[in-house]
Formats: sequence, C-alpha cells, structure tokens
Amino acid sequence: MAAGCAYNAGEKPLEIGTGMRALVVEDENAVASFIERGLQEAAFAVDVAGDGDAGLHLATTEYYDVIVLDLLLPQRDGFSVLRALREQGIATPVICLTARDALDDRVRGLNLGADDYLVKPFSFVELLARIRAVMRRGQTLADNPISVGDLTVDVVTRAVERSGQRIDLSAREYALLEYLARHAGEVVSRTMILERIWDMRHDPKTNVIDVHINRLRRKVDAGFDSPLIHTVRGCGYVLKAG
Amino acid sequence: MSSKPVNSRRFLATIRARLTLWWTTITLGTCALICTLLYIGLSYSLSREVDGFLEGEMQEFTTIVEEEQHLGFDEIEGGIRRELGSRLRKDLTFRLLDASGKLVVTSDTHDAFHPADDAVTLPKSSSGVVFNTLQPAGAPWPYRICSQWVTLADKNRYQTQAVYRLDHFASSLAGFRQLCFAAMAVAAGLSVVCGLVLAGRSLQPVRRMTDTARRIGAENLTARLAHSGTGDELDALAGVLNDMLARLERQFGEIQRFTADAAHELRTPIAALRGNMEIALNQQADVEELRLVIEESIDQFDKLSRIADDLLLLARADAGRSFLQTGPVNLTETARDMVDLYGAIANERDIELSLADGKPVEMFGDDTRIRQLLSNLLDNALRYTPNGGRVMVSVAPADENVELRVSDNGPGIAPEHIARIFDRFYRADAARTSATGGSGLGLAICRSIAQAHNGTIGIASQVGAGTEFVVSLPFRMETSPDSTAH
Repeated sequence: MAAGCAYNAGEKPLEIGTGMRALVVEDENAVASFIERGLQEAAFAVDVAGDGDAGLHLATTEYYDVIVLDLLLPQRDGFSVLRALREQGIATPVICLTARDALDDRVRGLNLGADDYLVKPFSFVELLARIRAVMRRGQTLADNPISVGDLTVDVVTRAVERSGQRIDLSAREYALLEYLARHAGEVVSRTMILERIWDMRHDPKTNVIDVHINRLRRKVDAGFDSPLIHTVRGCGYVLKAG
Repeated sequence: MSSKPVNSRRFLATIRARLTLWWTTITLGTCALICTLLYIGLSYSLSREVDGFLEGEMQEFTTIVEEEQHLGFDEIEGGIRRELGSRLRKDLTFRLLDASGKLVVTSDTHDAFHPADDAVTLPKSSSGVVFNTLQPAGAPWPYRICSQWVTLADKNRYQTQAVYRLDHFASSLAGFRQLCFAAMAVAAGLSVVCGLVLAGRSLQPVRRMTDTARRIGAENLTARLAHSGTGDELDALAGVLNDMLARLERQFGEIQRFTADAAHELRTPIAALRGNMEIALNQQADVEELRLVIEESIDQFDKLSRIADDLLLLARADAGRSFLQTGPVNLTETARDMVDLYGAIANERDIELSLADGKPVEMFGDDTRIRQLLSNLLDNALRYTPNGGRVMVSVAPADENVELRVSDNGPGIAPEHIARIFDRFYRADAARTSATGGSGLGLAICRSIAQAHNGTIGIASQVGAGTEFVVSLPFRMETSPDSTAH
C-alpha cells in the first residue's frame, strides 16, 4: 500500500536511501514490517528492533543515518531511548511515532531532542518525506535560484519566472511554491503543507489544500504544455519537470 | 443480597434498630429523671413530716418533764413508759440527758443509744430545737433525733430528746424505688415494641423505594419510584431520585444514540472500502484501475482516521481531561491564517470571505485547537452559504473575553434546529449525509474546544438572513487543569 501511493505510475521508486542505514524501533509487527518494506524499497538498509533495550543497543553500537522511534515500547519507552541516545552524544536524526491520544508526546519528544514526529496512523509517503527532510537538515541550502524544468524560483528576491515570463504570486502562493520547489521531485503531503504554510497541526476535513494548489497551478502551469505541479492521489503533491 | 436471613448483627445495623435503641434510651432516661425527682420530693416531704411530728412529741415530753420534775426522774420514767406502752409506739423513744450527756430518763428499756452515745448530746452553745440523723453501729435502721436544752428547777441544764426510728420511712422510700424500677421496666418494654413498630411503619416507603431501585438497571431506566403524595421528606427524596433517573435515562439515551451514530458513520466508509476492493479483486482490472481503487481506499482510510480523531477528542473532553497545550496566541494572526486558508475555497465559489479590521488581539490558549475551531466554523459557514454570498470573521475584545465571530448571509437555521445544532452527529439538513456534509462532529468539537478554554459558543440565526456564531474565550483561562469539563 505504501509503495502504491508513493510513486506515479510507471515511475521508478525514489531511491533516496541509497547507501543509507535506517533503524526502526517499533514493537508492533504489522507497523514495523511495512516501514521496513517501504524503506527497503527506497533503498535503505534497514534494521528493526522490537523493544527499547534492543533499539538502544543497536543505536549505540551501530551507525545509522536515521532512526524511526515508536514512543510506546515495552521495557524501555521511546522517551528513555531518546534521552539515553542524546546523553551519549549520538546526534542521529530521530523521527518519533506517537499514538493519537498522547498529545503531549510531541512536545516532550521534541524537547528531548527528536527531530520530527508523526502521529499514527500516518502515510508512508509522509514518513519518507520527513526522513528526507531531517537527513538534509544542516546541509547547505539548495542553489539559488531553484530551477525545476523551465521554472525558476529566486528565494532571495522572491521572483518567479517560467520560460522567462514573470509570474505574480501572492505571499502565501509564493510560500507554497517555494516549499514545493525546495522539495522538488519529492512528494509533499497535505499535512506537511498545512503545518508549514498555515501552521495547522490538525487536518481539516476539506479539500482546501487542493483548492490552493489548483490556484497555484492556474498561475504556474496554465498555458504550458507540460505541467510541473502533480497530484499524488491520497498523499500529496510533487513539483517536477516532465 | 436480599434473600439471606437477617442475622442479629445486620439487624443492629438497620435504621429501624438504631431508631428503636435511641427511642428506648430516651424514654428510659426521661423515666429515670422523673422518678429521681419524685423520689427526692417524696423523701423531702416525708422528712418534713417526720420532723414536725418529732418536734411536737419532743415539746410534749419537755412539758411533761418540766411539770412532773418534782416527782423525781424515776417516776417520770415509769409514767412515760406506761403511757407509751398504751400507745404501742415502738419506734418512738424519749430521753432526758444531763449536761454531761449522762442518760437520766429513757422511755425505752432497750434504748438503741444506751448506755451512752456522745453523738446524741447537744453542743453546749446551741439553742432551740436541733435535728440529727444517726445510725448507731450494728443497728439496721437510722434514727432521727430531735433535741433541745431545758433548765429544770435544780438549776441544771438537761437535754430532752425525741428519737424516731426511721424504719417506716425507709421502707416507704424502698417501696417507691421498687415501683419506679417496675415502671421503667414496663416503659422500656413498651418503647422497644412501639419503636420497632413506628420505625418499621415510617421506613416502609424506604423499603418500597429500595425494591424499586433494585429493579432499575441500564436496560430498564424507565421505571420510577412511587410517590406517596404526602409531601414528606421521603416523598421529596423520591422526587429527587426520579429527576435523577430522568436525567440518567436522557443521558444514557444520548450515549446510545451517539454510539449508534458513530457506528453508522464508521460503517459507511468501511462499506465503501470493502466494496471497492472486492470489485477490484473480481474484475480483470489493469494496473491503472487498481491504482485508482487503492487511491480511493486511502481517501476512505483518511476519512475513518479523521472520524476517529474527532471521537477521541470528544471522549477526552467528556472525561474532563484537558486536551489543550496552552501558550500565548496571537488570535488576529490565527484568524488571518484561517481566512487565508479558506479564502481559496471562497474565491472559487465567488463568496466574499473577509476578516474585519481591528487591533491585534492576543490571548492565552491552545493555538492548534483554536485554529481547529475556526476552521470548523469557516468550513461550516462556507458549506451553507450559496455562491456569491458573504462570510465575515471578526476578532475583538469584549470585557474579560475575546469574541470570535463568524457570520454568513446564508439561508439561516430554523429555530427548531438551533437548540440541537451543537449535538454530535446532528445535521440540521436531514438530506445531508457525510458524502456532502462534514462528519456531523464539527460544531460539537467547536463547543468542546470553547469549553476547554472555559469559554462559550453561541449561535444567532434568522431564516433567510444568515447565521452568526459567537465564540467567547477568556483572555487567560483559569489554570486548574481539571476545569476543562463542562
């Protein structure tokens, strides 16, 4: 299911994890195995630990590029694993998974040094996008201006051009396009957009993001043969050429 | 619980037994007090009578002694003995003592105080009549003695005494005491019987209420306690309990309806999921068609997930647990974000969505939840406003509170729906289903969020003119963490 939603038809899987190692600390087998399969398809080398002690042991003895950590674990819970990791100076990016009814978890986890969090049930694309975001953190910014096909987005002057034609955008439309451009080629979920652009941490039950994307499409894609903004149904959007 | 025989220990724990015990104790106490007072009164008046009689006799004896002293003391003694012998009074003795206390004359040959007893001599200084009560060693009864000084012809001082044996007196009092004890025993018996009967009778309605209440359960909340119609305390209690039962029945009904509605709301997307997948499985679908089915399924999963979120939030609110993460909130900024977010939808439908100008308003609360509240209200307003309509949002301080207003010029809501508009799964428009409308939980969640902030949400609507929701939130909610329940 995760793989089915992550890519458009006929497209090669996004192999963002080539040469990367991921650790999944999750006690629920069903969840652990779908994350493992999905990450393997994204070319990660994946280790799975079924409880907090095993997870902490692996995380401290092996090298990983990213850790996916469930907060509710038998024996040693996720908070404790996270604290122990950070106390030992291990700065591996950590994405926490929380249950719905534990709303304080987000704040607690981020305070303890988690890099991001996801609330169950989550979409796998979302997890992948967030993994990519935390792994890129700290790297140098993308080139300026960002180019996607014939579209250029100048993040300094906020000027947007397509095939040399200037496109006028409202502040919010620009923010949305810049966010998509910074993640060009990557699927960006509706919840990620809501979080970044409108500071919404819960999902409204409407197609409101679709409407915003459509408005942006009318300005960016209208009149051009090949659209740049693509919808990945059930998951989100991706900005890419071709 | 009810079928076991009542053992004595359990019986003593009953109100009936305790009432009887109290009643009997009080009756006995009252009886004892009355008897004691009567006893004291009786004893006092008997003493007075004895003393009066004794003094008379003593004066008479003194007169005899004074008049007959020329005959000599022996003659006086013989005369008195003869006279008393004819009166057959064995309990009265006359004595004459000289100044040193030596017995000179006694009417009784077996004088209890004979040969001599210092205690019966009068102090030299005393004048007039003096009374004493004495019990000589070995004597079964006490004696009452009435004495005075007289000076006889030989110029010597003598004491004349009348001594009365108190046996009749004591036996009268003893008789009265026995009578008292007998009366108290009868009173005790009567109070136990009356107490049990009276308490049993007055507790009869309680027993009936207990029997009825035992039959009332979750499945049978319609039963009510019988009113006796007397207007007494138990009748009032039955009334209060009946009111409570009515409330419970109503709330239980609401829970049942809510559960049924929730199950129905969940069943719809589940049925769609299953149907879609079965069809895809049976037909010779190509990859593209399968992809479409899976994408639709994910949409349905999302819908289910959102309903679960909403139900969870409402359950947390019901349980009185705080679901807020509070901090400073720039309410104007929050409102601007939401108006901007929904502006795209409004724009598509040619609806004018605007935020009223005003000074920036800041408060203390949960920004995420306030955004959720506003987005629910905006979603609702846009859904019910026709194309070309108008939706206005305003944020303004009002006394201690911040008032958030979302108004539209849509068709309005009929008065019969307004009272229930915040109920879970309540849809004013019966034709609307979850396919076209929301989950039916949006406004219920708005109310829960407002209440969690110790605020309120209200609605004013006029059919044909439009609807306005007013959310009133305190600038700074009270800090007690459990005050978030209704």
